[in-house]
Amino acid sequence: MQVMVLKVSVLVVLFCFSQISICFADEQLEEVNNLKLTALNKLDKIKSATSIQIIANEIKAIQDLIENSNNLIKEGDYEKASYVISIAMVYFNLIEAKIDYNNSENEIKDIKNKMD
Amino acid sequence: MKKIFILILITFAIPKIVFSWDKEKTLEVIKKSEILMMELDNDINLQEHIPYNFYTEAIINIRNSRTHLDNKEYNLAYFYSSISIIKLETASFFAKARKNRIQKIILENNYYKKNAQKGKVTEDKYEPGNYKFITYANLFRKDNIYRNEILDNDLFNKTSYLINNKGKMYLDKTIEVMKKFSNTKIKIIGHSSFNDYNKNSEKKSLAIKNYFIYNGIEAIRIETIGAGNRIPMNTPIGFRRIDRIEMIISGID
Repeated sequence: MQVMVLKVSVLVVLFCFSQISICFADEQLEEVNNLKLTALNKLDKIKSATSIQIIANEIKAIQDLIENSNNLIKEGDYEKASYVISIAMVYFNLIEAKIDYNNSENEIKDIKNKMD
Repeated sequence: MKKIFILILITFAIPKIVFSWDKEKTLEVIKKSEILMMELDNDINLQEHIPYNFYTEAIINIRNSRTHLDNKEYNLAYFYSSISIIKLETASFFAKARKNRIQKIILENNYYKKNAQKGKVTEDKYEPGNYKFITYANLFRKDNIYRNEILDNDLFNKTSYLINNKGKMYLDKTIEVMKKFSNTKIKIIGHSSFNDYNKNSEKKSLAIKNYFIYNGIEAIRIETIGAGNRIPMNTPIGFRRIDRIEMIISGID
C-alpha cells in the first residue's frame, strides 16, 4: 500500500513539474517572438529611412542574429534564443550612433568647403 | 524503487550543466570587451566626450559577465560580454560625433570672425537675407525664419519670472529688429527642464510677451507657446532638456 502511495505521489509531482515547465516555455517563446517582431519592424524602418551603406555590417549582424534565434527556437532552446535576440536589439543603438557620427562628419565637411 | 526516485531527482532537481556557449569562447569575448574598455578609457581625444549612460552600462555588463563566468553560467556571461562590446562601440561613435560637433562650432566661429574682420559681416549693420544670421541680436537664420534661444539664467531673476538687466539687453536687440522690420511676427516658446505641471513654460513666454508689448510691439504680432519639456535643445554635447526661451521671427525676407 505504501509503495502504491509513493508511486502515485511521484507521478503527481512529475505531472506538476511538466506543467510548470510548459508554462515557462510558452511565456519565454512569446517574449522571444515579441522581441523578434520589434527587431524586424525597427530593421524595416531603418532600411527605408537611411542609406544602408554606412550601417551594412550592423544590419547583417542583426539579420544573422534573428536567423540564429529562429534556429534556436526550432531546437527548443528558448532561453538562448532570448539572449540572442536581446543582443540584436542592442545593435540598434550602435546604428543610431553610427548615423549620428556620419552626419557630424558631413557637417564638418560642409563647413570646411564653405571656408575654402 | 529508490533507484527510480534518485533517477527522477537527477533529471529534474539538478539544473542543467551543459552549455553550448563554452568557457573558452566566453572568456575570449570578455577579454575583447575589457580591451575595448581600456582603449576607450585611455583615448585622450575622446575621454571628455564619452556618453556615460552607454559607457557605465557597458562596464556593469562586463562586471556581470565576470560574475557569471565565476558561477560557470557561460550563457549569461557570453550574453553580457557581447552586449558590453556593442555598447562600448556605441559610446565610442557617439563620442566621436560629439567631438566633431564641437570642432564644427569652433570652425564656424572662426569663419564668422574672419568675415567680420574683412567687413563682410558687421555687428552693427544687418540686412535681411544677406547673411547667415543677424549677429547684432544673435538671430540664427534657417530657411525663412530667424531663431534665438536664451537660457533662463540669462533672462530672469532667480526667484521669479521678472526679467533681469542682462535679459532686457538681449530682448531689446530683438525688439529693435522687430521694429526695423514691421511685417515680422514673433513666436515665443517657453521650455522647461522638468515636467511642466504648473505651466511655468507658458508663464515665462507670457512674461516676455508683456515686455515686448511694453516696448511698443503690437500684441497681434506675438504668439506665445508653453512647450514644457517636450522639445530638447540641440547642444554641442547632445540633446538636453534645458530651461530656456526660444524666439522665432518670421517675415524678415
